[in-house]
Amino acid sequence: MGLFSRGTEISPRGFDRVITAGSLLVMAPLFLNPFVVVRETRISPPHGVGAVEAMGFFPVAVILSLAVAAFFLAGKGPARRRNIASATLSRILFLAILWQAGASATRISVPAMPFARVSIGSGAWLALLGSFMIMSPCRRAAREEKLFVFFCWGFYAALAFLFFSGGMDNISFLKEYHNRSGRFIQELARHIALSSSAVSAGLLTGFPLGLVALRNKRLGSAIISLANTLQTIPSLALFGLLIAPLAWVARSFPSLASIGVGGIGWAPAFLALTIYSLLPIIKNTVSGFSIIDPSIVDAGSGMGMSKKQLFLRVELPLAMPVVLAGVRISGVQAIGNTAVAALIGAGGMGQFIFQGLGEAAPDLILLGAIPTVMLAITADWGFRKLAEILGPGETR
Amino acid sequence: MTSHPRRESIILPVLLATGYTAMLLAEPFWEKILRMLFPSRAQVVYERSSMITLAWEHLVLVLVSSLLATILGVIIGILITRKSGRDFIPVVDDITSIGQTFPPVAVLALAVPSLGFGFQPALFALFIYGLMPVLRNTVTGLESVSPDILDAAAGMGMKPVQSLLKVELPLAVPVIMGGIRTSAVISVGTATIGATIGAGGLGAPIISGLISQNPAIVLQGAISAAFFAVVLDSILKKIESMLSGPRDAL
Repeated sequence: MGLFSRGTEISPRGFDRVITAGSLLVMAPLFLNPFVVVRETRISPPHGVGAVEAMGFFPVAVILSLAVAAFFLAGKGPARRRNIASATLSRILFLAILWQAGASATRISVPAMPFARVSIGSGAWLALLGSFMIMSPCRRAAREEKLFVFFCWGFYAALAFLFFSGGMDNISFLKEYHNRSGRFIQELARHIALSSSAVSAGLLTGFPLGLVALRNKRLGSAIISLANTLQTIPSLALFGLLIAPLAWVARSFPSLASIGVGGIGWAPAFLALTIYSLLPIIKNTVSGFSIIDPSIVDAGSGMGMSKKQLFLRVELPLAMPVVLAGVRISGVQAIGNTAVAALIGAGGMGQFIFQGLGEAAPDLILLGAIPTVMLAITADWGFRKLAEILGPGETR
Repeated sequence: MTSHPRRESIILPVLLATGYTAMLLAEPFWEKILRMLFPSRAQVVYERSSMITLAWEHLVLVLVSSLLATILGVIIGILITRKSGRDFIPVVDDITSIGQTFPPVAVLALAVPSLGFGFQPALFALFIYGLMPVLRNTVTGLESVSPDILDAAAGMGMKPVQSLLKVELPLAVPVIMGGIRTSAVISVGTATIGATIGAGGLGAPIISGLISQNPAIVLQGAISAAFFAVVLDSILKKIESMLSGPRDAL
């Protein structure tokens, strides 16, 4: 990350401004916005419950004092102390808010209303955003503290514990999950399989096309402008355009139809998703190879390397981070578009989203949307790490 | 950018837009072609609304959301690149880079539990999502103005506001415009899915055709939506190259 050239350094005076905004964002919504939202049944209208009513007085006091502590400890004093204080307090705040949201859900739904659905309200969302804001300015600096790395893993472990211990189970969309966990796993696997196979196919065709574009400039610009135009087409429209031709293919070649090729289903989805992954991969292959310093290649050939050796040992490793960035962009995009593909019967997380939209059941929508977002963020993070590991070059 | 786009004609985008409008208006033509392709279907065109109305809805959805995203994105971008706002750059960097990772369909879907169904929630979702590229590019564009140029502007006696309006913003316009175009292109795609939350637009025939299993109507909607995106993109590209003008973009 850190795309912006200047300005990532924080002035000592201004440091507390972000922290101030962050801690205010934790405190104010606790009183102004509903902390959790309760619906008597899965689809009945929602009504908000404030923080004090939802959690009780004591937890609110603890969260408030943590935010106040962040404000005072992180805003002033030597830089190192500020960094550690804001990094630690913000994460504790984040966990505390999430934990309390889960606990209030349990408290509200279990005894009185067994069919009630409790979801996280805008107050809790804003407070989580506030703790993220407190976390944000110190993230890079705090990473250099050895002890802090352990603390970070502890944070993720606590987050995982919160979910797997059942602490969040009464939050509505997790209830929706427990009602259909078997199908959820199945659709998740389908989602991952469809998007990763499409990106792989995109890489297998896009990478060679990128190499062709490098050798032949005129053909290259034709390829890129075609891919550009295809990229512009809305995903739903491209799925729609492929339905009729693929239905015709399936009718004409029964053997293909027998393996599932048809107007709807995985075939048009796979084809469209592959087409979408082409552009970022082709573009980044071209730029990855063209930024290589020619003198390095000269040095290699001076050492007596063959063309093939030069490509595999010099050019490819140097271009790899940029190519991977292309794969990352394609991957994130494919995960999102796969959700749309549920509309043409390809399954995946979109299945829950669109079923939820159809039934006006918000929890089902969340059950599809939240994992899609998590998948996209994980893929983005994973490819960034991979590019970091594979090469010291520019990852952008 | 070495080309001098101002010399290119604006005829092509205008021609494309006119041609596209004519194509939407030619309803008997659609009916004829689609009936030829799908002879067994009783209904081959979308009848609940004319294509031109749907395209208009789509255009309003995209333009209004992009306009709002541009206004707010540029304002925030300017504020956080001023001396007093710089501390917020890392936070905005973090939030926008995570925000851009969010799949558009998820943003649209998440709007429903909080805002309900219809045109306005879709508009709001498109606006929030469209904000990310505009804001990001505004900051990148303003930050890439070399400090020497800023020094020169200050040395000429320009006040900060003058320097912003006369030097920084004009230099950043090509990058900002790139962000606006990205945001608009994503909006066109997302607005198509907006039909699933009742926002109308060119996605409506596609969704309706999928539900009634009528490939003719799906095709009609898909072609209209695809051309809509391509035509709008070419117009925006033209505006972008006109704004970056013959001067050196960097």
